[in-house]
Amino acid sequence: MYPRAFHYHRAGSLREAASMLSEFGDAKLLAGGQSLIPLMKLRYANPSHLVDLNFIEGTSYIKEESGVLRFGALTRHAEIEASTVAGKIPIIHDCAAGIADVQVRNRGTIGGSLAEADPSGDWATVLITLQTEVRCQKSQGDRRVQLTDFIKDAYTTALAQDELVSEVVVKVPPKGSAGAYLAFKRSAPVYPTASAAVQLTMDGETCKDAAIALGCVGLTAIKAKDAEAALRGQRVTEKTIAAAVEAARAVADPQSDMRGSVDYKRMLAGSLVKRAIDIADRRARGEQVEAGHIYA
Amino acid sequence: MSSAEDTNNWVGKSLPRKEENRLLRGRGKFADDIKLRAMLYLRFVRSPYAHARIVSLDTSAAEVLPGVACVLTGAEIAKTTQPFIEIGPDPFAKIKDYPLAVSKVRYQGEPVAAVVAESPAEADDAAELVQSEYEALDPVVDAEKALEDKSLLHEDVGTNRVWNGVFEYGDVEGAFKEAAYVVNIDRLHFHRFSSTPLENNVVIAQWNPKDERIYYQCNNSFPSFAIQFLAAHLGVHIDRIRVETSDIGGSFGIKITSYPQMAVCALASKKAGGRPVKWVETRSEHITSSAHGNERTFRDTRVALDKNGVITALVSRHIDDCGAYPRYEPLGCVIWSQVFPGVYRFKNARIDFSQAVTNKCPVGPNRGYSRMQHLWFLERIVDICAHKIGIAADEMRLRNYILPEEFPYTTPNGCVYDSGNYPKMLQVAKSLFGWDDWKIKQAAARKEGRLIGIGIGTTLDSGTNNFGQSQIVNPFLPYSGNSQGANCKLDIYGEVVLAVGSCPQGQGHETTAAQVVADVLNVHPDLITVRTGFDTERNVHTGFSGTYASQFAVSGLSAVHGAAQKLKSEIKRLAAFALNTKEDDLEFGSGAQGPEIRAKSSGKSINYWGLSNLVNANSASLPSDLYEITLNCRYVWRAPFKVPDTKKKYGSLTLTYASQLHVAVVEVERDTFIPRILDYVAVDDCGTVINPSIVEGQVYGATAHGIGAAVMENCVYDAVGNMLTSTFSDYTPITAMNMPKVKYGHIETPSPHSYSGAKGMGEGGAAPIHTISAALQDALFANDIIIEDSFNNADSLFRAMAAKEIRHVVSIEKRI
Amino acid sequence: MAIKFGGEFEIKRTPEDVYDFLTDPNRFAPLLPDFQGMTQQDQTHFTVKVNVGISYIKGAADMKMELSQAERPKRAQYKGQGSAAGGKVAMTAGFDLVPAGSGTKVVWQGEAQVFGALASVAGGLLEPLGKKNVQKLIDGLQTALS
Repeated sequence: MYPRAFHYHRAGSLREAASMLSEFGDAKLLAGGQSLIPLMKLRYANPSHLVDLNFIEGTSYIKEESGVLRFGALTRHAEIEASTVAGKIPIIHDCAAGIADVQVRNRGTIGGSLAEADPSGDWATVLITLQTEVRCQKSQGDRRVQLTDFIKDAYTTALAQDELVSEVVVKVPPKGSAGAYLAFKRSAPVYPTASAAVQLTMDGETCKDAAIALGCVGLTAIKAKDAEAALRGQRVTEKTIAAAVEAARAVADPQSDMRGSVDYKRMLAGSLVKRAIDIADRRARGEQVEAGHIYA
Repeated sequence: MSSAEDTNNWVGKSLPRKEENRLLRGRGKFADDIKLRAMLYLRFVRSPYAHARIVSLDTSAAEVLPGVACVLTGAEIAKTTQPFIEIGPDPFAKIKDYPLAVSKVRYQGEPVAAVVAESPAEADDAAELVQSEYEALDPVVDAEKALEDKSLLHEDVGTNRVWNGVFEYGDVEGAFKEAAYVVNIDRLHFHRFSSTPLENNVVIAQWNPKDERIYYQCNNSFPSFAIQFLAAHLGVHIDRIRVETSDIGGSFGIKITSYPQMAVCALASKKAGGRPVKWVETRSEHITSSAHGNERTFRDTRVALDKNGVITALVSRHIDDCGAYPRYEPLGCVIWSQVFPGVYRFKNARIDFSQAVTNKCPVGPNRGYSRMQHLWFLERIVDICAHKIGIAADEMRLRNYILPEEFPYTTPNGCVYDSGNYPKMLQVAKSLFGWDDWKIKQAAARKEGRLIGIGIGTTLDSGTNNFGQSQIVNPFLPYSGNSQGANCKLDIYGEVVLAVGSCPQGQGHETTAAQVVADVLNVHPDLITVRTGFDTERNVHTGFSGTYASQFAVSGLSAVHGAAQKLKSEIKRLAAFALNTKEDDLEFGSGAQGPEIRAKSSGKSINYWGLSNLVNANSASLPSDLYEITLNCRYVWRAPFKVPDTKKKYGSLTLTYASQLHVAVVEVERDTFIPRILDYVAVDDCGTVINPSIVEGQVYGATAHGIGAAVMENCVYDAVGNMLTSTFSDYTPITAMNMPKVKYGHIETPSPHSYSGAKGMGEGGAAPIHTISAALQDALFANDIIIEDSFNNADSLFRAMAAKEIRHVVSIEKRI
Repeated sequence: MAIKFGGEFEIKRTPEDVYDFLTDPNRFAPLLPDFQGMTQQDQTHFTVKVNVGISYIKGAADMKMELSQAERPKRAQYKGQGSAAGGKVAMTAGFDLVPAGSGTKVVWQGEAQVFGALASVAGGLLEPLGKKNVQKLIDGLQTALS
C-alpha cells in the first residue's frame, strides 16, 4: 500500500524543523519512522507535510556528563544497545537490545519513541523508573519537562504543535542501585504483551528506594506507586515481593486484545514485576544477570 | 571418462540446490519483478462488513480522478460473465460466486470493486474515493450455528450446510456392544489458521485485443486448476488462456485459489483496452482475504476400546467451516478420508461429515489440507483415551499402530498404505530424545509443582491424489487418476534441457529433477538445465500440473524419469548408428568434451553436441529409419488408480503415505502460562530419500509451520465477523526466534508404489500441532484439563487453569 | 467489537427542557467530540462531520444521524452510521429522562460497533478511547444543561 501524497521537507536543524511544524500546520516529523511510516502506509495517518530530521547533524549521541546520560533525540535503539556509556545503566541496555527486531532497532530512535507515546512503547516504561527529563525544542528557545509530565495520554505528550524532542536526559542512579526491564513479546513485529521495569536502590539488605513501572497494560506506562511502597525501606523478601506484585497487578489497567485478555495481562504484569525485582536485587549485589525482551 | 559406478547415484545425495545461487542472492524472478509496457495497477475496494447487503456503490469520484483508467464493480461484471463453477453437486450449483461481490458481501475483506490506474499510488487514492453504503445482515461466524440456517449466506441454496455425507465402515454397533471401555468426547475444535508465504499473491493479466487471448504472469500454484475456472467464468476457450509462472515465494496451497483475482485483472485489462494490469496483494489483504485453512469441529465423539485399550470403533460428527464461498471445496469433505484411520488399526467407524459456509474468508487447501484436521482429531482421541484409561501415551500408540508387517495395508475405506514402520519411528524418536531421562526429569519437576508434559504426535502425509475421489463429493465430475508431464531433450548444441509442469515455491524441484536425469544419463546434475514453472504454451503440463498435495517426488519425478528414459533410448539408437555399434556396447558418461556416449568395443565416442547435430544441423548422413528420433521427449506419467466406489465411499485415494512422528516436552510456566518447548524431536519417513538436505529442510519448515499453528497463529473473528488478526502484529507468524532446537531423525521404508521408492512429503501432516496438544494435555491432565482445541497459547492456558469450574467434555464408561 | 457505555447524571432542569435540548440537532450535535460541522436533512435526520481517531491518527467521518426514538419528555434515542478510516461505525445512544425533584435524572446508555480493518488495527484501544469520547460528550452535555 502507498501513503497519500505528501510534501517532503528536509530540515537543516532542529530549530528549522520546529519552525516548519508551525509553518505547515498539518505536518509530522520523520525520525526513525517505525510507527509513522506503517500508519501512513495503511493510510491511518495522512499528514500533508513530512519533515525529515535524519539529515540534521549532531542529533545522535550518547554522552555522560556530571551525573547524567544525554541521548540525542535521533539516537537509534541499536546505538544505545551497542553503547558502553549507556550500558552503565543496565536497565537501559535491557530495553534497547530487545525492541522489536534488528531492522527496527537500526532505524527507530529514542526521541521518536517517547514523542510517539504509544501505550506499548518500551522506553517510557523504563525511563520513568529513572529520573528522566525530555528536552523540548521550539524554533525559539527550549524547555525541559520531566518524563512523568511529558506523557499525557495514549499518543499524547506535552509537546506543543511546533515543538519537538531534542534530547533525553537520564540521571545516573546512585551506587547500590540496579534495575531490570522485562518484556514478553510473541514475535518481533509485536509490541510486548506486558512489560515491567524495576529499579531498586539497596542499602545493604534494605531497599532504600524502589521504582516500578508497568508497560502495555494501560493507556500510558504506569508507575506502580503502591508496589514501590511495598518495598521501600523493607528487606526484599518473599513477603514484600508478593505485596509489591499484588499492588502492581492492582494498578494495571489493561485492555483485551490479540496479545491477551485483561486478566491474563494483569497476571503477567505482576509475574514480570516479580522476576524483575529478583534480577534487580541480584544485580544490585553485583551479580551479572540477563534481562530484556523475552519471546513468549 | 568416468565409469558408471562412480556417478550413477546422484539420487540420495545431499546435493546443494541448483536454485540457491539465484534465490539466496536475490536474483530470482518473481511475478512482481515483471514490468510490462503501458502496465496499469489494480487495487481492490473491500467490504468492511462480514455480512451485508450492498445498498449503493458510487464509483464516480474514483473514475474521474486523474490517472484512473477504469473502475469495475460486481454488478457490472455479472452482466458479462458466468459465476465460477462449483465443484460440489446441487445445491452448490446455486451458489453465485463472482470475483467482485454483486448484491451482498459475505466476508470482511470481500472485494466489491476494483480500481485501475497508471500507478499503484493513484490506484490507492482512487480506491479511497469509492463510496459505499451497506445494510448490515446477521453475521454467521460459527459453523455449528451456521447449520441452524437462521441467517443464510447464499439464499438461493436455502441452507448453509453445503455438503453432508456419512462415511461408515465395518460393524460399528457390534464393536460398541463388545467394548470394555467407551469414551465420550463432547467437542473438539481444530482452529483456523493459514500460511504466510513471503510473497503475497501477484497477478499480471493482459486481455490482448489483437488475438483475443488472455495472458497471465502470476504466482498461482495450480494453474491447470485455475484456468478451468477462469475459462468458464470469462467465457473464453481454455486454450486461449496462457498462464506463466516464474519463481514463487511460497504458497503452501494458499495460492491455489487466486483465480477470482486473476479474473478481475483480465476483465480490467479488457476494459482498459488491452493494457496489462498488475495486482500485487498487500500483506493485510493476504491475511484477511486470500484463503485460510479449514476450521473443523468434532462433535459427539464416541470411542469403543477393548480391555487393553485397543480402539475398536469410532463414531463422530464433523463440521467443517469453509468460509463464505466453497471454491476448492467440497474436496476437503473427502480428502481427509485418505487417512481415515490415521496410523491406527481400528476397522469400524462412522463419521457424519458436514461442511458449512460462514461469513469468514474462504478456505483454500492449506498445507496438510483436510487431513491434518482429522489426524489431529485421531491423535486427540488416542491421548484422551490413554489418559482416561490410564495407559501411557507411547504404550497406547504401540497397541494401536498398524504393524510393520501389515503393509501394504488396506484401510477400512479402501486406501492402500504403501509402507511404513511406526513403532520403529517411535523407537528412533525416543533414542534421539532421551525418553527415559526426560521421564525422570518430568517426575522430579512435577514434584516441584512444575507443569511439564511429554507428547507424541504420529501423522501421515498422503501424497499423489487420485482425483477420482472428487466423484465421491460429486459423481458428475470428469476427473480421475493423476498425471504429470515432463519433457527432456538434447538441445541443438547438446545441452540437456528438462522441462517440468510444476511450479515450485522453494521445494528444490530443479535440483531433485536434475539428480534423477543425471542418474539416467550418467552425467553431473550441473549439466542438466531444468526449466520449472508453469506455461500453458510450453506443452509440458497435464491437467493436474502444479505444485501441491505432496506429490512431486512421485508424480513429478516419475514423469522426469520417464522422459529421461525416453531420451536415453533415442540417444542409444542414434549413438549406435554414429559409432557403428550395437546399443548394448554403449556406455553413458562424460569425457573431455562434456557428456558423451562411448562404444566399449572400439573406444570411440560421440558427445551430445555431435548427436544433436545429426538430428538438427548435420542430418544428411542420417538414415531415414532414424528420422523419427527428435531427441525431444515428452512423457506423461499416470498414476495406477481406479475410480473409487462413490456410493460406498471406498477406494484407493492416494498413492504414497509418508509418516512423521514428533515428540515434544512442553512446560507451562507457572507464572506466565507460556507453553515453552523444552525439547523437540522430528522423525520422518518419506521412503527412499532423493535429496536428504531438501527433505530435512522441508521437515524443519513443516515443524516451524506446525509449532506456529499450535501456539501462535490463529485467525480470530469477533462476533460481527471483523477479523481481528489482520496484520503480522496480531497474526504473529512464527519466526526463527520462536523456534526450539529441533532434533531430526529419519527412517526409510521405500514405497512399492513409486518407481524410486520415494514418497511425497512436503506437507508434513502438521505433526507439531498434534504433538504440542498431546504434551500440553500430559502437562495439565492432573489438573483435570483436556486439550480440546488445536490452538493453545499462554492466554488460553491461563484461562483454562483459572476457570473456576472444570468443564467435563470427556466421560468414560467402564464395562469391565 | 461492540463497545457498550452508560451512566447517569442529574441536572437542575426540567425533563421537558432536557428533552428539547437533546432532540434539537443544532444544539446537541456540536457537543460531539471533535465536531466539525453539520447539515440537517429534516427534523429527525442530520449529518455531522466529526474527527475520529487519536492524536495525529485522525480522519474526518461523516456520521448520518437519526433521531430514532422521541417520546417527549421521557426518552430520546439517536442512531448513527458513518464511515471512517476505511471502516464503518454504527452507534446508538439513548437518554431516559426521569424527574428528580425539581430537576431531571438523565440515564444514558449506548453501544458503538466498528466494522472493518480498524477493529483489528486499533485493537484494545478502541474501547478506552471510545469511552473517553463518550465521557467528553456527557461532560459537554452537563455543562450545556447546567
